[in-house]
This record gives sequence, C-alpha cells and structure tokens, in this order.
Amino acid sequence: MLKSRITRIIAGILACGMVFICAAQAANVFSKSKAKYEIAYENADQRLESETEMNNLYRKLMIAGYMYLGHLDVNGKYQGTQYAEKQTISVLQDLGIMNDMGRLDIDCSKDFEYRVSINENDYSNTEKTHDQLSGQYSVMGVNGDVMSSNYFHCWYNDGMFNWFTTNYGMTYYYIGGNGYAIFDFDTKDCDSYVDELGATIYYKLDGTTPIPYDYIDMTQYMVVEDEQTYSFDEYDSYNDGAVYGNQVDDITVIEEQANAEEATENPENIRPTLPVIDEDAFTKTQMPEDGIIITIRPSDEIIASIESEKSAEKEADEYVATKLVNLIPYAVIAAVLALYVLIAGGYSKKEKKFVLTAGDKVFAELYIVIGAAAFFGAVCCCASIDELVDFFNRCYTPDTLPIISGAAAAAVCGILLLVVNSLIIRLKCRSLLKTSIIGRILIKLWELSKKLWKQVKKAAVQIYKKAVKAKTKFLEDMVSRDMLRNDKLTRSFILRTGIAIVLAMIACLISIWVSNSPDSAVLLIIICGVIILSVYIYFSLADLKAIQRLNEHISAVNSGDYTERIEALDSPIYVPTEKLNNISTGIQGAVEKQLKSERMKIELVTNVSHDLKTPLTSIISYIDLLSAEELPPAAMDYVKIIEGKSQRLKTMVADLFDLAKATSRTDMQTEEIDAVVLTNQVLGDMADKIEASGRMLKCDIQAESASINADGKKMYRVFQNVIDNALKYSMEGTRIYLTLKNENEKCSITIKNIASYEMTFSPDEITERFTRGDESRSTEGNGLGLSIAKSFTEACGGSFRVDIDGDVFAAIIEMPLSC
Amino acid sequence: MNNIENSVILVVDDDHDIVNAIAALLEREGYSIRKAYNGLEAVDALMREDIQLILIDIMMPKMDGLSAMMKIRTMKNIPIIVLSAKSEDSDKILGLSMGADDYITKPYNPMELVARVQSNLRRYLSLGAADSVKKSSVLRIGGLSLDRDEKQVYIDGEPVKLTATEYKITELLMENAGRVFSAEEIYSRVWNEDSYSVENTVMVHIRHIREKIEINPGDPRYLKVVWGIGYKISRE
Repeated sequence: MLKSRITRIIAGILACGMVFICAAQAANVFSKSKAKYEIAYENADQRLESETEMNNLYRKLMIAGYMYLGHLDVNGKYQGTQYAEKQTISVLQDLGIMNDMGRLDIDCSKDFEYRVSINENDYSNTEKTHDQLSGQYSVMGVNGDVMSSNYFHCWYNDGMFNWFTTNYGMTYYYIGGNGYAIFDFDTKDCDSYVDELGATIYYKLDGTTPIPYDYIDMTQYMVVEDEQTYSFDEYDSYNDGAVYGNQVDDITVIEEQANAEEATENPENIRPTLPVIDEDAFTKTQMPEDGIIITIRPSDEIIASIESEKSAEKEADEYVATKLVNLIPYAVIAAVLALYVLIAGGYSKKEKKFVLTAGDKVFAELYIVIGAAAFFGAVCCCASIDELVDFFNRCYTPDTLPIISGAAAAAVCGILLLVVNSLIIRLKCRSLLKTSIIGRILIKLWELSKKLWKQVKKAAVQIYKKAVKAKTKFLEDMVSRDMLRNDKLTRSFILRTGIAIVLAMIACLISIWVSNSPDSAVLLIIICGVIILSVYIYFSLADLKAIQRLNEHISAVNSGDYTERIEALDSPIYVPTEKLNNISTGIQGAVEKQLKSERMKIELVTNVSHDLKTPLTSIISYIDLLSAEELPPAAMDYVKIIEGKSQRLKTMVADLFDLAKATSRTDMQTEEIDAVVLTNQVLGDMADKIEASGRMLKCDIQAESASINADGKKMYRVFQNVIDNALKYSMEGTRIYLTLKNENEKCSITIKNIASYEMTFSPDEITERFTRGDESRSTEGNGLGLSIAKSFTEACGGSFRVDIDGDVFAAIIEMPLSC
Repeated sequence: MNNIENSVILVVDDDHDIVNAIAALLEREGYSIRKAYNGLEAVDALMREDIQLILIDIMMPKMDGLSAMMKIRTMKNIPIIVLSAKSEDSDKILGLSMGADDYITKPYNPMELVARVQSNLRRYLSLGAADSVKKSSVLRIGGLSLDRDEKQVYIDGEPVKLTATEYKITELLMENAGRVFSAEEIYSRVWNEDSYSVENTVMVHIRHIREKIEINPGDPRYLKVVWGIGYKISRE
C-alpha cells in the first residue's frame, strides 16, 4: 500500500496541508506578537533620544578633557601661553562647553551623571567616583577605549582622538570626527577658512596655510607629531590646492594679489614660506601623561524605563517561542511525509520498478526554473515579512494573513515537492540527463566524442597494424640495428622542430618578461625568431643535402647506373641508401639474367638453325649433283620436285631464324629513314614481280616524306612480305591498293587487296606463325610472312594489324613519326 | 700454274657428305680437290701441297675455321672462301676481317658456289698482274672495276654489258664509293633532269645493275640499297 501512487499523492497533499497549518499558525503568531513588541518598544523613541543626548555629552566631555583639562596643572592653571588659553577658551565657548567666565559648563539635563578625569584634574556634575558611576547601564571610556553599556551605544570609539602641534604655533585636535585648531599667535590680520572637520584655520596673505596635512592621512602624520617640524616647502609639495578644495578660490585671489604686488616673472615668489615663529616664544603643550577616563551614568528614571522595555520584549519573545514550538510536530510530520514521497516517488506497482510518468518527461530545466522561482519567491517573502504583515494588517482583517501566508507556503511546498520528486524519480530511473536539454546536449556530445574516439581508435589501430606489418616486413629485410636508423630523417626533423618551437616559446616568454615595452618585446621576439630560424635552417640543410644525395642516387639507379654507394653509418640516409643498393643489385642481377636468357635463346635458335642447315646443305648439294646426272625422265621429274621443296625448306629455315631474332629484338640497326623513299624503293625492287603477277598495284602516297626511326632492312622485309602476300592471295585481275599517309604523328601504310578465296580466319590468327590464308596450303609460302612482318614492325617500334572486311584484306603498318 | 681449270682447291668441313658433294660439284667444273675434315688437317694439307683456293667451314672440331684461317694467312696469300651455316652479319664481318676473301652461307646455291670459286680464282690468278698496272682511268672496288676510257665495267675481270644509264649510275656510285645517294640525286645527276617521283625508275635501274654485276643479287656484294634512304657502292 505504501508503494502505490495514490498513497504518495495523499501523502504529498497531507504534507502540504501540514505546511499550510505551520505557516498559518506562524503567521498568526507573528502578527499577534507584533502587538506585544509594539507595547515593549513604546518608549524606544525616548530611549534613542537619551542615547543621542548621552553621546553628545560624551563628546563634549572628551573635548573638555583633551583640550582643556589635560592642559591644566595641579592648581587648575592653563599650561600654555595666554594666547593659546584665550584661543582654547574661545573654541570651547563656541562649542558651548565653557561659560563666559572661562569655567567649564556642560549643559546637561539631570538625566545623566558624569565624570571626566585627566591628569588628576577632573570635572563632573556629581560627587560619585568613576567606580560608583560605572555599572550595567553606564558608558565608560578609558583612553578612548569605550565600553558601551548593553542599552546605550556609544558612537565614539577608539581612534577618534588625535592631536599634534606645529612649530609655528598651532595645535590641532581631532576629536570624535571634528577638528579644532588652537593658535598660539595673533590671528587678527589673518584670513581664515574652515577645514573639512570644522576647525577654523588661519592663513597669511602670502597664501600659506598652517595645516600641513589632509585629515584623511592623519595617521601618517601622527608619527611625527612630537619632534619633527615641517617646512612649508614640504607642505607645498604635498598639497597643491586639492586639500583646500573650498579654499582654492581664495588662494587664487591671493595669488592674484601677490602677482599685483610683486614681479609676475618669478613664479616662485608667489608662495613665500611662512616666517617661522620664534620657538622660544612658543611653548609647546604636552600631551597628558595619564589617560583620560570618562564615565556617564543615566538617571534611575531612564534605567527603570529601559528595564520595563526589556521585560516586555522578553515576554513577547517567550510567547512566540512557545507558540512556535507547538508547530514542531506538524513540521516533523510534513517532513516525514515529504521524505516518504521523495523516497517512494515514481515506483510503479505494475512494473515493480521506478518509472517515469508523463510529467517526468518534461524538460528538467523547466522544473528547476519553476522550483527555483518558487523557492526564491518564498525566501523574498520571508525577508520582507514585516512589510507584508503591515500590508495585510492595513488592507485586510488580521485573520486573512494566516490563511494567505499558509496557502502560499503550502503552494510553494507543493511545487518544490513536485519538482524535487520529479528530479529524484529521474535520478532513480537514470534518465535525468535524457529528460533535460543540457543533459541531451551532453549526451549528444558524449556520443559524438565516443564516435570520434572510435574512429580515431580504428584509424590508430589500422595505422598500428600497418606499422606492425611494415615493421615485420622491414625486419625481414633488415637487421634490427638498421631499424633504429630507419626513420632517422623523420625523427631528427621532429626533434629539431620540437626544440625550435620550445626555444621560440621560451624566447617569446623571456622577451616579454625582460622587455619593458611591447615594441621592444616584438623586436626581441623577431631577433630571437631570426636566430632560431637560421639555426634551424642550418641544421635542416644537412638533412636536405643528404636527401639530395639520395635523390641523385635514385636518379642514377633510374638511368641504369647501379654502382653501389656508401653512406656513413650515422647518416640519416644510411638505411635508404643501403636499400637502394640492394635494389640496384637486384635489378642488375635480373637484367643480367634476362640478357643471359636472351643470349641463350638466340644461341639455341642459332644452333638449331645451324643443325638444320647442315643436312640441308648436303641435300641441296646432292640434288644439284643428281640433276646433272643422266637419269630416266621420271626420275628427273622427281629430282626437280625435291629441288623445289628443298629450296622452300631453305627459305623456311632462314625465315624461322629471322623471326626468332625479331622476337628477341636483338640485332637491330635503327636509324632515321624515310618511309616514302622506302616504299618507292620496295616498289621499284618488286616492279618485275608485280608485273609478272598480272595484278595492278595502285599506289597513293599522300605525304612528301615520313621520317621514321627504324631498321631499314627489316622494314624492307615487312613491305616485301606484305606485298608478296597481296600478290599471292589476291584474285586474278584485281587491283592492289597501297596508301601512305601521315596522321596523328604516325605514318600509316595500308595495303589492300581482294582475296581470291574466302577468308575464314580472324585478323589475329593470320599473323600467328604458320597460319596461312588458304587452308589447303596448295600455294607456295610457309605462313611466316605476316608473322615476320608483324614481329619486325613491332621490333622497330611500330604496329602491324590486319583488317578483314568481306573479301577485302588490308594490312596496316603504323610507324611513329620521328619528328 | 696459272691455269684456272687445273687449280687445286682444298675443301674443309667436318661433314664428310658436304665435302664429298662440294668435291663432286667442283670436279665437274674441272678443279682438283683436296679434302680435310678439320682445321689442323687443313693446315697440314696446305703445308704439304700446292693449293690455289680454300673452301673452309667455321665450326669444326680440333681447330675451327677462324683459327685455321689465321694460321693459313701467316703462310699463304691464296683466296679463302668461308662456307658457314652462320648467316648473321656479324659472323660475315668477323669471317671477312679474319682474312677470308668471300663468305658463303649454308645452305648454298651450288651455282653460286661455283661462280664465287671461279671469281676468286680469277682474281687471284689472272688479275694479280693487272693489279699492279694501275690506270688512272680505272676505278676499282674489290672485284669490280670500271674503265672510264672504255666505258666498260668488269667484274672479276669479266666484262659486263651495261646500258648507258646503268653505266652512268655505276660510275657515279663508284666515284663516290661509300657515299649514299638518294634517288633524286642520282636522277638529277644521271638524267640531268629535275626529279619528281623517280624512286621507282632509279630502283628499277639499280636492280638491273645488280642483276648484272652481282653473283647473288639477293645478297649484293657491291651495289647496296640503303632501305628508306638511298643507294651506294660500298668501299670494301
């Protein structure tokens, strides 16, 4: 039952109700107690009046004590010049603490009894001693340290009295926030002003003033009050008008006067020093050795009134306290209920766990703002409770206040409970972040950073894997000693750059620290920067040279120079150079191997053809001998056949040999030749053959010349073979077309003919070795012609292809033009 | 013994059949034949007998043709014809520079073989004396000579019948032996006309000359076509 939602709601409402009761009761108590306190403070005004009076009295006693009593000798005679006494008396009379007779007469009601003692001189309006006067309600001050009574506050605390004497006849007192200047010289002809503390200060017409300090800086001058004298020069340098704010105009007037009287050219004469008064004629007064004691005791009447006030106040306090204690159980119940709500809040009986309700899915910030507003509103109301109470008392009947304040308190409590409960439920469900804007942003950021970290990690892992792979591979190639030197270039670069950056930073800091102006700092930084940069470049150049060497090495290898290069073991390019050396050796080996195998191939072909040629030589020789013999006609025919075939065999062996050589591309003598000239030469060379074949050869040369780089003999073979082929396999009576033209930086020669048979082969097949157009192989030829043509063309850097379009057979030779 | 018909020829080859065939071929022409089957035997035979011409193979056991040739050249001045299956240009150049007078590749044409043997013998025996009589009007390159007074071309001493144009071309090329002439140049200098598309004409003439002066026109010894450039008669 405790776990169900409804219980919680009831508990919450109950708690609010308790708060309502508490607040209403409290408000009631406060409003009632107010009346009681008012009774207690009925006489407060009177008391405050007394306090002011007491403070005035205290001040007067202080002045009288310090300025007058302190300077009296045991006989009650003033210790000082007559003039000073006169001045003092005049000041005291001005203050109303001395009568016309020159006797102290402090006007005071009978409310206070007082005594002031200094230097065994004292003054009082009572017979009582200090001890008798002192008590719970009295104020007593010893040497400025004031002991205020519990009921009267004394405003004049310590530090309120200072005095000093100048060497030109002035004693300045600073008592209780007021200044009093006593002059020991005739002030008849002097002008005067009143300083900030109220003391009348006289000054001569020459513009000098005798008060050498700003009262604010009093303590500073206290030290020198006894012995040190002041010259007006010093004084002038300290104060230039500012201190005498209200006197500046006067001084200006004086200056003008002085200017009128004296030569204006000499500004130093404007303020001549005040003539120093004869020290012998001026008797310095002494500070009283014994401390001053002031005691003031209020009258019994006042004491009685204070006591009655106190007891009334106490009574009111007790009333409030007892009433409020009665509310504690309610408060406790409210607190327990609230605690229960907070602890059990959000639990779902159905799901047996804490769940979020719809309200808990609203952004948490909103709740917090509402809660905070309610809380601070309540705090503000409490702070200004007096005004509120007054307001209610004025506007409504006193009974409304408890209801309204109770309702307000209950509402605030309800809101706070809701807010805190919702927040706690979110915490319980671990979804506080999810349901707040800031939290969501944080979550997003966290996810983003997680994703980023994942990617970074992935990349790092990949790099690491690659690095490990590279390392493993590297280890296979190199001994571990070299691995350390592998990345020397990078390492030294990073180290160098790091040092340079750190140095630059240090230089910046030092520059800023050392120099006293931004300009010089910038200059220093630039100088340091230049130095650091030069050193950096100097060290970088060494590496650059090494890289250049490496580059040269690579270029050399590229151009086929495989000579090994030696680098110092500590050189940054030691490892790359070694690797390059290895590569060079490898390439060299491979090239040599290739060349060797080529040579072997040629040798093989040569040997084979030699082996073929030797028996063929015998055959041909003996056939020749045989044909010279007298043979029966039939045998003669046979010999003729054998002769023909042996001739073909001979050509074939030669062709085979040529083909092998062309494929291996050895024995090439490339020079710059003219394809046009070559074509004409071939045509001239074969003119008889063409004529004998009965075919027409139509020649269309579309270029003046066509320079190509090729082996003339080989190209002759190509042309010869192609034309032979055309003559052999073209239909009788048809024309053969030869076209030569330059296009796209190529010289292309096309020989077209109409085949005398159906071409069932593909263009690729016909250029294969031993492929013949007519499958019956009835005509002469060995099937090597086009294949040789193709090989030779390719060996010369050109291309050879065959196009078949119906019965039209076209051989296309393309050679790159050399210019 | 200046009679060409009675000349003694030494045939050297490790293949007995070939030696016999050549022997039969040349005996038919009336020459006396001595046989040897390697370089050492050849040198031996040469020491023992009076021999006017040697036909020698290169690849042989014991002592190869080239070594034998070098040995022979230290003793005799007789014509040496190399008869080899090695048909590469480099082989021919090597053989000729080692002291051979002629180079025939196997499998040879019997007729050509006979012709070359005769040509070499003629030069060695008949023209040897004529060599010393140097006429300024006679141009001579190897076995090819041209007498400007007689307007006659001889090949190994035998007169060759050339047409006027063919003679002029031969003369031009022989006067500037080794230099390559383009068809245009030949045309303008021989025909004394401006040339235009004359390649064919010149080539046809060249081919005719070659057929007349060369033993094997397919593999010319004197008048050579520089394919794609022009024509020349090479200085030997």
